[in-house]
Amino acid sequence: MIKLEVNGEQYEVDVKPYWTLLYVLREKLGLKGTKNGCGEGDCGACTVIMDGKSVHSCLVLAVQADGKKILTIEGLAKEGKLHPLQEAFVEHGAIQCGFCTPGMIMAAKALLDENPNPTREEIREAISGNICRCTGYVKIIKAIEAAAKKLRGS
Amino acid sequence: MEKDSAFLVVGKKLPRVDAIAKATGQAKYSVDLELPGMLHGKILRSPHPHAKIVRIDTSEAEKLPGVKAILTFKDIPKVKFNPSTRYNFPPLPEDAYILADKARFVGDEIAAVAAESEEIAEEALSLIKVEYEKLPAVFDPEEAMKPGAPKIHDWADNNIVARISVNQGDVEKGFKEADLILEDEFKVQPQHHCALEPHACVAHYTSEGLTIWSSTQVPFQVRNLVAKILDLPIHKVRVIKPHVGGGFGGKDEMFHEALAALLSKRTGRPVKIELTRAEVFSATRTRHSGKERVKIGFKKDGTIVALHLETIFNAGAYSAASPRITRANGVRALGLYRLPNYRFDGYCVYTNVVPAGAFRGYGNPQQGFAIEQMLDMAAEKLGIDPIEIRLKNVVRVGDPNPLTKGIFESVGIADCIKKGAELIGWQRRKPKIISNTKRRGYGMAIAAHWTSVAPYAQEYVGAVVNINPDGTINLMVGASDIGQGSDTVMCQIAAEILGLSLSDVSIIAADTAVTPWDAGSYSSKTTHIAGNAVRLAAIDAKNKLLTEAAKILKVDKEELECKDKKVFLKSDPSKSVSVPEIINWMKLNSEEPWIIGKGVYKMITNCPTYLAHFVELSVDIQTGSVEVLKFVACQDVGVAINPLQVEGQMEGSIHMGMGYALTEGIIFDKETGKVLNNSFVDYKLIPPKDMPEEIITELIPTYEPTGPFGAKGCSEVGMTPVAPAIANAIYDAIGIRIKELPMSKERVLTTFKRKNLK
Amino acid sequence: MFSKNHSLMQKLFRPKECFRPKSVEEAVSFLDKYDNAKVIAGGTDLLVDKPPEVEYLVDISCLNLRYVTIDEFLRIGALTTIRDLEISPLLKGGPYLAISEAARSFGSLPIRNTATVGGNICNAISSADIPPPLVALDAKVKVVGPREERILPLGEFFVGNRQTLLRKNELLVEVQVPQFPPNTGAAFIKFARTSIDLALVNMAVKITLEGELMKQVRVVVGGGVGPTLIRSKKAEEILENQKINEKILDEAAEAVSAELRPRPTSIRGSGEYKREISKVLLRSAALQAWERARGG
Repeated sequence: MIKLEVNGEQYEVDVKPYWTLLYVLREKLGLKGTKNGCGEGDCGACTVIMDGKSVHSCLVLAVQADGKKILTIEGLAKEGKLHPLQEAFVEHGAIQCGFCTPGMIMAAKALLDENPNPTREEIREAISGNICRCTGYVKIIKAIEAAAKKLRGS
Repeated sequence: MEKDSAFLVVGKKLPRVDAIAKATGQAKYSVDLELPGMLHGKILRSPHPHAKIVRIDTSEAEKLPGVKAILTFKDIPKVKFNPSTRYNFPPLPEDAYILADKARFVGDEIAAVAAESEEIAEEALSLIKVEYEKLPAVFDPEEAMKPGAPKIHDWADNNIVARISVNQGDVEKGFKEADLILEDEFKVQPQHHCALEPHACVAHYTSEGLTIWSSTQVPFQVRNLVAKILDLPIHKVRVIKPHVGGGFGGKDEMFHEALAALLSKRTGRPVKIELTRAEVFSATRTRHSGKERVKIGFKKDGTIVALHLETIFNAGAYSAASPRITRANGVRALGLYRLPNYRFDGYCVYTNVVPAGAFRGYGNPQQGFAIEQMLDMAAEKLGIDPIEIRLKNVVRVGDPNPLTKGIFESVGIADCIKKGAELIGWQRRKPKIISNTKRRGYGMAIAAHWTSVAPYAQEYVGAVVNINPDGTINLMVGASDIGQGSDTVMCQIAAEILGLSLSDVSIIAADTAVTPWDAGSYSSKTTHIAGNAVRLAAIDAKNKLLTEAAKILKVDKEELECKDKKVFLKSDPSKSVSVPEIINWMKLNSEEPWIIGKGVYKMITNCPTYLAHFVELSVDIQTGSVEVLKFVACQDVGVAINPLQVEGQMEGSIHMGMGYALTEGIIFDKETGKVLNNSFVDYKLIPPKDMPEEIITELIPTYEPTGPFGAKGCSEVGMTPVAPAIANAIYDAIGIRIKELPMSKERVLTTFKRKNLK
Repeated sequence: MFSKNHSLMQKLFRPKECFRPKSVEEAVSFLDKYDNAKVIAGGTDLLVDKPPEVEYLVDISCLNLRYVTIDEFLRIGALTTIRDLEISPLLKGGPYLAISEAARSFGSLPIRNTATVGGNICNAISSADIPPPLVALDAKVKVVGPREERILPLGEFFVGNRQTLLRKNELLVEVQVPQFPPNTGAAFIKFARTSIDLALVNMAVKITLEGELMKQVRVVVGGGVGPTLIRSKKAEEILENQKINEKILDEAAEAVSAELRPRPTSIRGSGEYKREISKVLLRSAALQAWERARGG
């Protein structure tokens, strides 16, 4: 039995020793926004923020998520109002098939939480664990820059 | 069709209609679907490249609690099919069953299990015992064609799936007139799509019918095949495409839908089959690999007098779409260059590796890698600029279209080249020596990509526009948005015609029971032909709306226009009636009390999209590392319905093309043919830090009269010029020609050292 | 040649239980008691490899082993994440900079946030990035068993592919790196197919200068260069007691390259290419280490 906080809500889940956090999020908590693209920590589609740091949830043993605070894509928008990152991704054409988007946005959020004024190089570094096959990263980087600017402004 | 630059919705950089759903994690993909009582399916795969299946013992697996059904060859319909069969296309070899009768590659599908959970299904697989009789195997197409090679399919002599010839003019005569003849051979590797969502489908077989949700590019194709294989009438099979996490050709055929349906029929419960990443790499499809042999004859001034292309493609263990892709590979050049004398001879050959199939570019990148380098080679020998030799030979507006026997009506390639040259600084180059270990090079290459497959097959598509009582519309289109953004483009077209904003339009697409026919998202045709069907449906609805409004306002229909849910007199906009009022009036006064617009479009021509790529890169002569510093892409899509999306496609294909050029490639084991690098650890995609610092995309507007608002195809052409542009730039930098892909760091260094030793 | 995980049969990784010990002693007692018990720290190797023989997991992530401190030694707790190393102010200057460089080159950010120093060392693949600079800096590791603690030189710790001197019932708890005199510099360079990749070849070089002469030199090369990383004593001998110059750098480069024992074929790169790259890296890393040693 593990206790974890996901997007501000408390959950108690019975887990098997070999289950991952990704499996628990998707199959036990019904939070399908976080995606399984490879299951091996290479594609980043499963990226969530755990205790303030971006992690690949497919490589986090569910047991080890006990007592942790998790933020997934479903936890970003507040009462229907999009987070500036989500707005920027929408506006700048940074979303095509959308499968990498939740993980990509979480990686970007983790970056901006720690570094509100990243250089382009720092943005590229922060999303290096996220594969996007559609965009070539061009508009993703633009969107993150725009969101950072907006967040600094307000 | 009118040219009009004062559009309100078309031509605007509007956000995608599904962007918010995707940005919030609400968008549902096939992998996300859950139905009550759903079982999980898993597939047992052959560990051998070529083997008879002697016996399969499922008894232990059946005893495992939670296992609900196991299928092997004895349980499946003995219906042979080709998963790439398209309803209205010339037929392909039907050489597959839904489970293999004989193992033909490592990964071939031998048995399927449905169980209460993925874990139980996995464990059941490990309990199935298969007795194989190993057969000799062959992995190279040229070896496979030799007498005495192992026979992979009974019907195919020398393992040849197809031999394709294309002939125009007389190449022998042409070569006799040439001042310069170049001949060379190039090798291309299997590339993998790496769509981020793995292949997945859910099937639910009930007494009311069969419903399938699938991550597919071709729902109608899947429907027809499933109906045929399971012997069901078409109306009982419904295929729905949820959001798709990328396709790129990798989902351009039926995969496991029929198998999932059969498991569902057996168990009476919904069944989901979702592939692991290793399965996607090892056992779905790759781009065709093989050899390109090219002979080109030139006049002194660079004019091409003859071109002979010979292709040998490795089709892999099953035919799928190989004959079509081979043919497509043979006609690419005809859309780009004036080729009075042209000949193509192509073979696609069975071997015991994972089958090759459709992949963005569809035969174009392979021949482009060869021909675009040879044009540079000729330019150098003739003392002409590479740009000049292209400009001399590209097709022009009014030239005869060799495929359709009509003419080319929109050709922007010359402007693409000139603009690209300007943007890269072709005439104002930075110094070649960057440091004592790095050299700079500039290169360019061009491509054309046919929009659709006409006249190879007759493509047609339908659309329906429903006007609601509040003046908003529901659009029904068969076209499949697989991430390229077709849903948005369709909405924009409908909105523009009816004078609405994008937020007044909702779309339902790619549901075979509800939306009109669309053959699927392939050949870069969706904007053009589905867009035309939507345009016609919107015009039909608009006509009906204006006809009724004319009665209400007591004027001639021609005097009316509609915008913002109002119909008004063009000469005096204050005289108007709202769409809700019209609909209300119609209920009492019209023969048909509601408005449904219908559009059906048949592809009447084939209008290529054109693209020029220019690169500036540096080569490290100690390590062979190639760093692309600046990348310029100039494309002619006619008119861009949504320039933001077109840019996205251009940028994405630069990334995918750079991977093809520099780092990607499926590697087959020499002993077993299995895919060795079936994970992202060793199948290397270009990471964000390795993308060029500067990427410039520019649209060169032309106008395609047959396209909706002047639009033609867009999304595949970007795969073709990347590799040859980079190869040409490497030659500029360090004087070596690389004729094999990928141009990895090791290959660049080895080729460089070999040249410098001579 | 490539990770064994990637078979088409899903590996049946089904441990029966996951223990969460609250002390090192408790952790060690689990390892001692069960034959098929395996430590999990960050999980970024284990959950990829998914070894089917594992019956019990010993989750050590709650133990007090995450720290980077300095007294007579630089002490790095086994649970220190790679990200911790990347940003630690203690590793921003002097020869310890090479450790931070290695950390920065490692995987991607989410992996660095989770992966641990202890895990990277004990997983013992030759392409690991953290061991080479530690070996170049004469690091030792402290391992704790049920009855004794041992301190082992890291340079002797790796005995084969995925094999170390760690006994089945021992836990690695700390890395100890000595302090160095002021004129010491170290550098780490990683070369791979792309910027997010396992090392094809990586290299750590440490140089202590006395006046113009390189007095103490360490050259450690990793990547796909053999079953374990390699300390090139031949290259060190060529450089020691010499003033730096192109000729001896070339000689040392040839020496390193000759000591590599890569597999004859590899999908990542041929042995010949790796040898070429090792020469380039030696020249660069040695020069950089020397410049840093001079910088003081």
